[in-house]
Amino acid sequence: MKSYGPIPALKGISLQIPEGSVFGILGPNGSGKTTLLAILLDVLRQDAGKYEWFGGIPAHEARKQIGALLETPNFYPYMSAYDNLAITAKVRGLTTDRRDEVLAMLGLLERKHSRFRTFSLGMKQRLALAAALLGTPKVLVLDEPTNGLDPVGIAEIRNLILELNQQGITVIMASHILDEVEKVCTHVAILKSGTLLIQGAVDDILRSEDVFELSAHDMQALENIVQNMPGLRKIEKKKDLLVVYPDENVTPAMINEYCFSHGMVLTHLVLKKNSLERRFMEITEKA
Amino acid sequence: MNLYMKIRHLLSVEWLVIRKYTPFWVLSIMFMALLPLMNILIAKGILRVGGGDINILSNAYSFSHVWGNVSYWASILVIFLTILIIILTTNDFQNRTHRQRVIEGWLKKDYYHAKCLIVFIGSILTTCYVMFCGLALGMLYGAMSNFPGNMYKLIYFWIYTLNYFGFAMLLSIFLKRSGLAIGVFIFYVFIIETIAVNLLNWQTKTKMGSFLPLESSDSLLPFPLNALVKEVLQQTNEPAEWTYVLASLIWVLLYYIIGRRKLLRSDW
Repeated sequence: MKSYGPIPALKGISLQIPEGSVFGILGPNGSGKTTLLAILLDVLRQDAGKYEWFGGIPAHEARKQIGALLETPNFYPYMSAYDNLAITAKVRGLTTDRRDEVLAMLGLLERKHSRFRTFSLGMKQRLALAAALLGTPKVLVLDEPTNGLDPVGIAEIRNLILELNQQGITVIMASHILDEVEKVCTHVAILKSGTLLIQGAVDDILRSEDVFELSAHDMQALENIVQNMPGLRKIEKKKDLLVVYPDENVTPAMINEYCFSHGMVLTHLVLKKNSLERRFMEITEKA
Repeated sequence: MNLYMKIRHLLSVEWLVIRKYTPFWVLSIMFMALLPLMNILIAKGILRVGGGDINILSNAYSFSHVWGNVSYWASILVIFLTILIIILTTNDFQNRTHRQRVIEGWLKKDYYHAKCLIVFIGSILTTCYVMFCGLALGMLYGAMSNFPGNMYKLIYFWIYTLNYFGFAMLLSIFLKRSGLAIGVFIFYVFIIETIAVNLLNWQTKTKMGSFLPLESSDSLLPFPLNALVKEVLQQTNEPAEWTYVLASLIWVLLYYIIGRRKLLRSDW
C-alpha cells in the first residue's frame, strides 16, 4: 500500500513471482508499476504491507543478487561508462571484473571510455542494463527496459531478456506495451490505478481468441438459433452483427451448417482474431 | 563486515566518485594554494589593512600566535570546501545515484554514512593541511621560542570545519539542488545569522546569539586583533571557550540526527 499525499498509488497488491519466470507487470501509465518495483527495491517506503525476496533473507543482501533498472539510468555524467561500472562493481563487492563482458553484451564496448553525458537515451538505457547484469544476478528487475530504444534495439533487448531467462535468471519487468509482455513474458499481472486486476500465465490471460462475426437478414431469428448452438462460449450483439466466441474446435463450416440446417441463411460469416489490445481493454474496462 | 571494513568500503566507493570530478580538484587546489599565499602576503606586510604604521592584520607568525592567525584565515577560505561539500552531496540527488546505491545493495543508512564520512575525513584532512601550513609559516616568519604553542587552536579549527561541513550537508539533504543549497547557505551565513546573532545578543543582553549554529564555531576562531585585545583587556564577561566547543559539538550531533531522520524516512 502506498500513497503520495492523498493520492493512493497502490491499493493492496498481493503477488507471488515464480522462480525462473519472466513476470510482466502490465498497466497503463500511472497505474503503479514503477511504485511497486521501487518499493521492492527499498527506494520508496510503503505505507503498509511487506515483501520478501528469496524466501526472506535481509532485503539489502537480496538486492546484491538482483540486477535492477528503475525508471531512469542513474550514473555520474562526468564519468565514462567504464568508470561508472567500476562504482557498481565496488558497491556490490564484486571481485572479478566483468565490465568488458557486459558492455559487449549490450553493444557498448567501443564507447566504454566515453563520458556518460555524451550517450544517447538508448545508450544510457543499455548501460543501465549492463550495470544490472554486472553482478551475475539471480533476478532482474526491469522497469520499461526498452524505453528510448530504436526498433532494432528493442528486438535485441527482448532477445537478451529471453536468453538470460534461459540461463535461469528470473525476470520481473514492468511495461505498458502489451505486445512486449506477450512476446517476452511467461506470467503477467495487470495493474490499473494501483489495483491488481488479474494475474497468471500469459497464455491464459492474454490468449488471442478466434471470434466469428455473423449476420443474416433477420438478426433476431439468427440470435435465437445461435444461442442454442453447442460449442459457443459467448454471444455479443453488435449493431448489425453477432460476435460469437467459439470453443477451440469450432470451424466456420460448422457454424454455417448449423445455421443452414435451422433454416437460416447467413449473409456474412467471418473468422477474426480477437486482438490483444481488445483483450486488454476487456480486462481493464471490466474493473 | 566489521566496522573498519565497512568504513573502508564506503570511503573507497566515495573516492571513485570524487576522483574524476574536476570541481573537486579545482576547489581543493584553490583552498590549498590560497591559504599559504594569503598568509605569506600578510606575514611580509604586503597584504595590510590600515594606513601608515597601522596594520590591523596581525603579522605575528611566531609560535604560538601563528595557530590563531593561520586558523582564522583558513576558517574564511574553508567556505570553498563547504561549497564543495554541497556540490558533492546534491550531485547524487540530481543524478539519482543515491537511488542507484540502494538498488545495488546499500542500505539507505550506508549512503548517509558514506556522506558523513566525507564530512568527517574532509574536516580532518583540512585540519592537517592547516597544521602543516602553520608549522611552515611559523618556522619561516616567526620566532620558535614558544614552540609549539597554542596548538589547541587546531582542534577549534577542526570543530569549526566539522560544523560548517555538517551544516552544508544537512542543507543539501533538505534542498537537493546545488544552486539552491549554495544560495541559501551563503544567504544564511552572511546575512541571516549575522543579523540574528546581533539581534539576540542585543535584545537579551546575553551572549545567546553567539551560540547559534555556525556562530558558535566562529566564536572559537576570532579575528586575530580581537583575540589580542581580549587577551590584553582580560575581558571576563565572555563565555568560556569550552562552552562554544560544547555548543558546536551539540549542533554537529543535531545535524547528524536530523539528516538521518530526513533521509531514512523519505522516499528516494
